[in-house]
Amino acid sequence: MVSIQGVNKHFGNLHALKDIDLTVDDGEVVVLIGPSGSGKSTLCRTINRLETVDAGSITVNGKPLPAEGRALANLRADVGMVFQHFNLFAHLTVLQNITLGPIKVRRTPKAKAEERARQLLQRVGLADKADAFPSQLSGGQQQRVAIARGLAMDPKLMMFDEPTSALDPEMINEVLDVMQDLAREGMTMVVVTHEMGFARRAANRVVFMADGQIVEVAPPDEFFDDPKTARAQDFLAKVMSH
Amino acid sequence: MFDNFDLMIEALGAGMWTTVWVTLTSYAIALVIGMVLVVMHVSPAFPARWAANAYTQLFRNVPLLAVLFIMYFGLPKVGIVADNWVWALLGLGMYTGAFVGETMRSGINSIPLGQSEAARSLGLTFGQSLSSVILPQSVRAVIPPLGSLLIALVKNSALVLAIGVPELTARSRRLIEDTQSRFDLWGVIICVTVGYLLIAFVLSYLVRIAEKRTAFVR
Repeated sequence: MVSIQGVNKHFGNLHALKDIDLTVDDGEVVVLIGPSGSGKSTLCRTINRLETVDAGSITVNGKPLPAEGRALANLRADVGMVFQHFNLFAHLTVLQNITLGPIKVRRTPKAKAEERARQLLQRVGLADKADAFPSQLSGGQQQRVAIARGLAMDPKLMMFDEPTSALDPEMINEVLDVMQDLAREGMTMVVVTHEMGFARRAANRVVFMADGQIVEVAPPDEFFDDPKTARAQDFLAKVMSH
Repeated sequence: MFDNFDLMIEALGAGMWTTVWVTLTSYAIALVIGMVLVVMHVSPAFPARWAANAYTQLFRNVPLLAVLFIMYFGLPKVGIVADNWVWALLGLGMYTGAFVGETMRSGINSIPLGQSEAARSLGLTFGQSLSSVILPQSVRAVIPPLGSLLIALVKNSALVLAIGVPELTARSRRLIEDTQSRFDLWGVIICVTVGYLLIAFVLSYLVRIAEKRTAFVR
């Protein structure tokens, strides 16, 4: 589904991504973890070219990422993206947020798009919020709408860039539950997160990054119970100490 | 003070009408130019950004009166001939358009980057994300400053008297300089002032309505 080879990226003097190689198979859930500033969000954002890379190649579904333009827009339509800060369209209702993509990009008739949107809202537990504006929802509700918005495009891949990092603790689980259901249903997912419990339960593979490099890749049980690298051991000791 | 009041009102009324339609027409031109400029300003294509910037610098930094003179006196010399009305509308419109473009640009810049990232992530093209997501949200922020530009344009429109368009100020000058001295200076000044205030009040009111119409819950 996604193949990343030899990717390098600089922000000025900062070498944000160093020789990244990573593939994501169909139906696989890959969870990126690591300390802040390790490059996991940047890596996630390169997959739909919200960040460009300086060197290396990224292919999605066998096709190299096109330059900015219609071909890239088409590719992005197939890759759902959920952001840390939700980024729901502030001037549109929940229903309009979800139907915008299908109507504008997929040319789905409005009635059909709305029907599907209501099904998705049902699924994320927000059927009664269709006509609310984003500002009237809690963070957890907004993030679930954002997930529904992504799913409305029938994406081949869903990416989550720290989807629970901006949420109050009591709202984290309602979002993780939705994500876990998705994972169980076989959605291909790339998830950047600090939620170790989620990584352990939902991931097929855990990718541990530090200082712009992929340090360790392993199935979750193996990674959490028996990390091989000192950097990962150190990181886990810090995040698991409470 | 208000000698020959009916004659005065007749002349000033005609001037007021001219001021109003010159203002509104050139403002419509300015809005179109501003919209084109702002799309060019945020476009991924470098030449478009460069051209928008060049236009803005040119029209923002040359006095409006000079713009009108260049058009009315200069352009016919290179074979571009048109009515003084045309130059009045184009001069006011193109000059104000530069300011409208900058105002709209600041409106766009006030929208968080995440909104356009989310739009692009859905597969919307540059144009679609601008028209469906970014511009509708910036409209509300830019209506008050666009309203100020409209009011400024009402007053700037007085300058077209220099190229012979009989708007409100031009008419009042004719009354003051009346060869038979039929009109009192203060009477004319008061009426002209009231005329401009009336126009400005009505337009401000319309801007307020537009502001309320575009409000959304946040």
